[in-house]
Amino acid sequence: MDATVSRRQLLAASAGVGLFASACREATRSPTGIGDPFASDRVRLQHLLRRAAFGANRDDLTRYDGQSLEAVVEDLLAYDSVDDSELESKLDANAYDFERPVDMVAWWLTRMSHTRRPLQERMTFFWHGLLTSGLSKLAGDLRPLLVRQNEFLRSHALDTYDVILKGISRDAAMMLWLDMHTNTKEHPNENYARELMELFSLGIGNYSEEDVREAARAFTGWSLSREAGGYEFRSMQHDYGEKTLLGQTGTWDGDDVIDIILQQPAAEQYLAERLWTYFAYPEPEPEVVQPVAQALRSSGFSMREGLRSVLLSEAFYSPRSYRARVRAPVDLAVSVVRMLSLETDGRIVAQACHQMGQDLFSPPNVAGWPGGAAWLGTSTWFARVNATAAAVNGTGGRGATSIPQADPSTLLIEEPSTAEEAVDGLAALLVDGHLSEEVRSFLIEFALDGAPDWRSLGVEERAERLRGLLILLLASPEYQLA
Amino acid sequence: MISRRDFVKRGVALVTLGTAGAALPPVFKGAFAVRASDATADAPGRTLVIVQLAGGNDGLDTLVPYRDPVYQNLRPSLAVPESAVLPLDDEWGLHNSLASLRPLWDEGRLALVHAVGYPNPDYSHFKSMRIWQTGDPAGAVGDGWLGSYLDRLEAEEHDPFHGFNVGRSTPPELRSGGAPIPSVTDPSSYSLERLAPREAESRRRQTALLKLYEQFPKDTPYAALLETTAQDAVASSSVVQEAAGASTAADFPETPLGQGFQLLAQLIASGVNLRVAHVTLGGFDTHSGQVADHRALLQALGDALAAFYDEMRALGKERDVLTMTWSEFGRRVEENASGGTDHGAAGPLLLLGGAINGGFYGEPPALTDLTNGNLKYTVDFRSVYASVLEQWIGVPSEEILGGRFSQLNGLLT
Repeated sequence: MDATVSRRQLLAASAGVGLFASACREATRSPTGIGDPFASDRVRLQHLLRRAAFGANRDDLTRYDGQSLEAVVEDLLAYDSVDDSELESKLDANAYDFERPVDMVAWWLTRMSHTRRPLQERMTFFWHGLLTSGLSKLAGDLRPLLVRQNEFLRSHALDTYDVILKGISRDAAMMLWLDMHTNTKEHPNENYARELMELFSLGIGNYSEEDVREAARAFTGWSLSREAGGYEFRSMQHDYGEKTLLGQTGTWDGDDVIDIILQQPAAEQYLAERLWTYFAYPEPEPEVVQPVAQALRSSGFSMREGLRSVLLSEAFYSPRSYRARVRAPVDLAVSVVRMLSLETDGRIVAQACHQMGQDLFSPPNVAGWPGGAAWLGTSTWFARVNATAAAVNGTGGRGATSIPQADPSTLLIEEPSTAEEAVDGLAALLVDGHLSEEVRSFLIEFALDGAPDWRSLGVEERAERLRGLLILLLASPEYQLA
Repeated sequence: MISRRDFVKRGVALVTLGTAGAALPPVFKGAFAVRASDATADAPGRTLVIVQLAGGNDGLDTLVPYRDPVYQNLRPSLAVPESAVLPLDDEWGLHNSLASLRPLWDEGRLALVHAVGYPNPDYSHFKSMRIWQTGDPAGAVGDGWLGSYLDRLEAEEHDPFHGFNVGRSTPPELRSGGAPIPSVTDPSSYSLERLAPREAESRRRQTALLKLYEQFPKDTPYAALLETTAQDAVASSSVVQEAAGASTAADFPETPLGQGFQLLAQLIASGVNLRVAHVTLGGFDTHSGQVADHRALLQALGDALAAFYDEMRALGKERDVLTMTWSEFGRRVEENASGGTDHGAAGPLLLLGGAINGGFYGEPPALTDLTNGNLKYTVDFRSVYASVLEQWIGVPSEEILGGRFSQLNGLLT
């Protein structure tokens, strides 16, 4: 099976995404299930933007209208040329204090919510869940180190993996998180060496305990100092002796370890699987991962090439990929902020994410957030619905910490003239128009609530019904999945 | 017997009939009414409370070999002085921050199991936790060792309160294929808030939302879990909130752990059929500054456990509730250069309850016979699990644990 040909065929079929307004009118109406979820180009676009960005609001759909998926993917990947100065000004104006965890989180959520480079933030978020570091070991003036790490991951988000690994191995927040700064010749600390191989590059089963010990020796002397402002090599603490790592013997240091690790076929396999699991679906078939691994290998571990391979893969747009992921709290919150174009400084969003069970910069452990079913608890379900309702109904109060009542009419291209148009228009935007006929009828009935027709409702009543539909769709099971 | 679908449907039906509710939307009260009346037919079962000491509890600082010169030598700055130990026998004593547990030891209601662990100990928090949570030293990703039990209960009869977690998401040891459990941090926010400014419209939206979950096609991986989560959330909300409003006889500490135990006590008092509950106390990864941090942690643990036991006794339920601690590993015998200890292996485990036959279980660890500087285990953790499953819960342990393990003899009176 030649994946490239299949991909071409797929993309050749892409004849533009169609006007959103007409898409609203032609919203899919399948009787029970949804058959092939990717029957329309618009759904492929919405799926792509849910995974590679933070969802698609009305403006996103309008902007990409008529473009092929390939063009959209290239546009997302080419974020370096996108001017994001408006976001930077907004962040400066909000004056975040990076010694306060809530401000750190609010700062990043605001980036995600208002950036014009969503793929860069998405990828930074991916790295935060893979090359984890957390606040638990950082107090006071050490906390900004984690923001510095975040900036590193952002600026190298699609770089080659050796650059990323060599950088993160010298990153102060990472070194503190995994005790690298205490790794001395006399007392090698295996913490970083172990996680480097287990979680960051090879996966369990592709290295031995002996490899962990040898790699730890190679990283001895990699330390920190306040004078240096971070990483500092202490030659007195470094073990210059011979080490044997993954079958290769030499007087290796930490960078050599990374080079040797990335020579292993297990490395591209592992990374390809992590990318696939995050962007497409968990436990992928080997034949689906293989082209991604190949793209990484042949490009010298370019993350840009690896990601492009995922996003243009046929399997990325297969039924197995559709609604296959539970939206993480951060995903859910940011998607709602972007969908409703909410203006916030992120602090209230940080609070909502906390209630839903995800605090940026505080992953539960070195393995990051487990995701999937772990997001769905009863408490966190209440938090998801309550936060959604607050985003639509408004929070009351004034100033940067409040949210005004949403005006759903701004989500629709045209003022609906029937309850059907109201339901179909919002469903097309929020849940790909993929509602069962049963649910669609139920929502139409809900919108009318006994009124003979939509036009018989007053302006205020119509706005209230639209807000009701908006909350129901944003809190729906469909929307909890991505 | 009542199926999950009937259960929720009846709840929703009451809404459409217009059952009035005061503070809470009627759909919750309806669901509760159905559950409570059905539950009365059931004899209340025994409850197992799991306390996870996350981060790796230092066993030698908990159950102290206070006269062992090896201990003094390897822990020059950390060794608990004899004056700060509550001796239980000539060799072992409790850290005095656990003083609240001393009366329970004297009454014979506290069991201390020495040196619990497993072969080839793993020093990664993540992997060792997974091993304890699944009951499988291969650490395979799978159901939790208690999740399998919850699935079994679920197959017999649906009750959202078979399991309960104080926390945000289902702990892995209680995770299963088909039985999500309520996870609660703060009872006051454990409900749907108003979904509209107008009360009537808010209720209309809440009812409609549950309908969307019920009708969501079940052909995607998380669809069934979404539906049951929403339904259990709604069905458990008013029970939890009402229970949390009741006063308690015991004085629970103001710590998060104390408040968590208070909530468990209140739920048990409310009469729900709680079989397995879970609470977590984190912060045991004491690589540095251990003396003060660990003292505070043990104080919080001992005070909460004692208050919980007192409350169970006041309810006359102390023989129906068993509390068990675990931690992913103990710590290195020799202290490190930062006034702390690094990841270790075997450690003691504590079981508490009115039906417990108190005292020591298992062989004490030898501080002179270490592996990589760590204590060797003398009791396999699966022996403790097997004892709890067979003797307390009353289910066969072989299938759940993937083998037969010797049990702690006479753990219960």
